[in-house]
Amino acid sequence: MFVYINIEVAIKFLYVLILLNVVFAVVVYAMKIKKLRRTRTERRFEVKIKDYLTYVLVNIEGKEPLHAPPFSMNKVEQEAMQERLNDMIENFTGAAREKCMELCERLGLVQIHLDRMKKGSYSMKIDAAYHLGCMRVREAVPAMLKFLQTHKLNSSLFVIARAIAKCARDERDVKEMVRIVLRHNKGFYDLLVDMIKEADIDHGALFAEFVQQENHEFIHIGLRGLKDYTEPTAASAVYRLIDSSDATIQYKAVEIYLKSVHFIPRNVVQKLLRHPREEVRILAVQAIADLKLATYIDVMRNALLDESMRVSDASAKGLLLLGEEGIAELCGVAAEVRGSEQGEYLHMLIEEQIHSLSLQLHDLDRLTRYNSLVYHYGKTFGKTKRIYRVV
Amino acid sequence: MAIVIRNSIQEITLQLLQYIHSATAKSGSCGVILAPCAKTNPKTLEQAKGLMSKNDASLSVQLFYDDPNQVLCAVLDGGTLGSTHYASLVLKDFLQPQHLLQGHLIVSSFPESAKPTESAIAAFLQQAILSKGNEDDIRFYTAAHAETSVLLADPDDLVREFIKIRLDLKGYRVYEAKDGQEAYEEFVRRLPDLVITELNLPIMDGYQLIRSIQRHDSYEGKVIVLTDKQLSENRSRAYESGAADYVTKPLSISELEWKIKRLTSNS
Repeated sequence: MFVYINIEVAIKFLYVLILLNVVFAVVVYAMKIKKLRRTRTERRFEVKIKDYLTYVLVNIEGKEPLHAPPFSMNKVEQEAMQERLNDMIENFTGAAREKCMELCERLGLVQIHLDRMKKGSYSMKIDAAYHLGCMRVREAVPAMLKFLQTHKLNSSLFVIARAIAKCARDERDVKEMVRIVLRHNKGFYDLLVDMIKEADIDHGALFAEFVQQENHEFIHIGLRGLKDYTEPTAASAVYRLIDSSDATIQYKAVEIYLKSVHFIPRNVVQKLLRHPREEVRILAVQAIADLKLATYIDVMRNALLDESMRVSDASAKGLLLLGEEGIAELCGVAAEVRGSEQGEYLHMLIEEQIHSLSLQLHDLDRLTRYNSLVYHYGKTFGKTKRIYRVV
Repeated sequence: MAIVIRNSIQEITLQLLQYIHSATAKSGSCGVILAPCAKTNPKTLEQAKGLMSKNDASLSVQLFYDDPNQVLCAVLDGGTLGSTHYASLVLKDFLQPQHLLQGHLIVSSFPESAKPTESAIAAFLQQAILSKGNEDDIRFYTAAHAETSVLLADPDDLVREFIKIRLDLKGYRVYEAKDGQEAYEEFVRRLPDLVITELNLPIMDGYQLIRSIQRHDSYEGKVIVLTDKQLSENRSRAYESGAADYVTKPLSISELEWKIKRLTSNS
């Protein structure tokens, strides 16, 4: 009797197991079919979006406005479309960018993110700021500035700041963004310069305005921004800072000034060569050589006898670039101070230069310099070396 | 009495030519879409026409099916290349789910793509008929022959895709490469008339690629740098390496197209 009951229970248990197996199999197959359907739909959308994006790329610079896709999109599809349009806006400029921005508006993407920025949660707002920045939505700036004001210092702060720079209506928006970020007292000067360059404004004018301010942080940003400018306007903007009491600001200002001028007035040359920092004196000597200002050979002569060996070295190399007169001056001074430590150094430097130039005689400019140096060296030191005739 | 015998292609060519001439005389331009299709009944054609007109009300659409060549023809009165391209998206979206499409949809607008001559229409039609059995993509008919070849080296898919589409349309033959090594191999194999390269390339950077190309004895072509490096040092280095021109990103396609034209017309 006892055995019989056990078998009955076992059989019932088996039935339950079989039933459960069937149920699980049905569920698994249903899931699989659903996934296959979804993949097929996604693939179809990819093809559809590919055709549509090709249409956008082909007609991106045409006169006609771009039409919205001839099919409806769900949320996931809309996000995929947004990403592709963001990429296009970032990659293109001019009319192409404008048309992509227009299309975003037509597709309702701008409004979606403006609403998210207004009513969304914190993470939604960050995401909205990123997308609004990509789409260059100018009307989003006030809300983003407000968001930036209260934002704590973390990586999202820069997402918002960059978005503001991209959407900036004018330089006032950019200045406001910079002012807010600088409140965190952490510098970020290079990062801020990079962001400012994304704004659709005259960057050079804004950096020039920054260097005129009293606040050193703005001056640092301005100087970093003007680093690559070689126009004379950059020189006049930083001229005031050549006398700055802050050594870093002063050095950067001198660097920009000397890179962007075509001629350096004598009073500036003298001021720079009297500067206590040897780096500044070296910059001045190098600039005279780069600009081929033979009129300052007398100044370069004095620099040859500078207490700093680095200045003396830069001056000697600079004189070599100032033609016959510069080379004659170099050899003359080297002969005058013969016997001293400086004289020995200049002598060695001339010998080295003769050797180095003798290896590059295929270059006409170097060959001429070589001949000139050998001639004056022989004349002042009484040593003869081979001179090449240029045919 | 003279008897003129025309084959089926000539028949449809002349019919299309007539439509195009009448549309261009009236509206200045005429868009045409040709697609190899399975037999389509008038009701289906009417549905497709309604859909195309609904998506762009400014166009007057005529749809007909050429039985002998099994080609669906859509003629859009006043259709520019842009609006005809858009109409082709709508048409494809309609035909594809019904499994009617059997090859490429070929898009063209006259006189924007070509002069509406009998030979041009015949070539256009041939392109559609020959596409039968291929994937149902949207392609363009252009009368320009791909005589000038361009190699495009850029790791960014979007940039490559965009420039390729634009240059294809202008009649250039475009080869693509994602990195410097692939670009150099492609260069040696194809010897293109012009190379457009980014400086930030994986494996072999843009400078190395330009120098390798310049060292190639048989090469007399030119290199345009298209890069997001904006500094004057990069520019100088590129020119020193042998670049003929330098364009910065974000790119202006008109500027790039103009520079390509200038360099390739000199060669």
